[in-house]
Amino acid sequence: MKNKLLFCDVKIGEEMPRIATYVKSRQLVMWAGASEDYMEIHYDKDYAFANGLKEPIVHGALKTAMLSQYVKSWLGDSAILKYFKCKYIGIDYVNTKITLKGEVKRKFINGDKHIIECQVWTESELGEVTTTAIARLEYSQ
Amino acid sequence: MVGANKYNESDVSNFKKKINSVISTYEIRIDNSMVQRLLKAINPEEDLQAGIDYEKQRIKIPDELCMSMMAYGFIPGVTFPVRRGLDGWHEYNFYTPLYINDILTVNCKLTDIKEKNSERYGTILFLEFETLIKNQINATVCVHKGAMILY
Repeated sequence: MKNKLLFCDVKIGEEMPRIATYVKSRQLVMWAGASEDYMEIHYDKDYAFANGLKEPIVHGALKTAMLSQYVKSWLGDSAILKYFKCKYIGIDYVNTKITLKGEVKRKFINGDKHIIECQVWTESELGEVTTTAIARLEYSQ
Repeated sequence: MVGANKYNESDVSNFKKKINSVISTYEIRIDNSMVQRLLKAINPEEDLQAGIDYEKQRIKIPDELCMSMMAYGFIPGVTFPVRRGLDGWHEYNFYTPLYINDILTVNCKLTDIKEKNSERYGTILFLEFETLIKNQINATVCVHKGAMILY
């Protein structure tokens, strides 16, 4: 998904096209290396099990990064991310479906700044929201 | 496992001594391989940034680099007895764009600790952090606030 939406194209309440993905253990290892987050619950099945989890879990920061890319890819390069706040409210296990969803919440002009605010979130394959975030992007037009 | 390794009063007291003091400062130079590794990790199936030369084209580096730096394990110098932990929330304000070869100074401090008692896990700690990332000309790149839950 690589769009280029203009400020005037975006409507409040508009839903972003959902994206479903499976985060595999290979990706968790890649993220662990890239972010230097080597907590064992993300790749060691025995360790995860000993800590009450049924499988290794997806890194929260990876879900954040996925959501951030998701909203930026939808709006395109003219929209610059200025603010992002995410909250982790559930667990996503490795090799399960994660769906990225989003909706435009606000759209306003502040001086010469054209601002779009979106709510984005991840849902597990059970349909539970596991990460939710607010992204505020500024158009450089 | 449940019931073992609970945080005690001395742990909590040691955590609290660190409030509002910088617990970690480090410098990091942004290089191309770091950015490529990160982007592939976010989206291995469809590498949207493939072929982009961030250095030659002087393209702004994706903000997710700052997000990856705030990951749980990327707080060097933290000597807390972390037994089990989860991310709580993260908040980022972005200011100056990042480019390849930028040298970042990252300052992370603990700003608050809240305690909650749980029958199952004992003391649960909510640690709040604030991280300031500046570039080589002292411009603020990102201000991050976040919370980790230790139990």
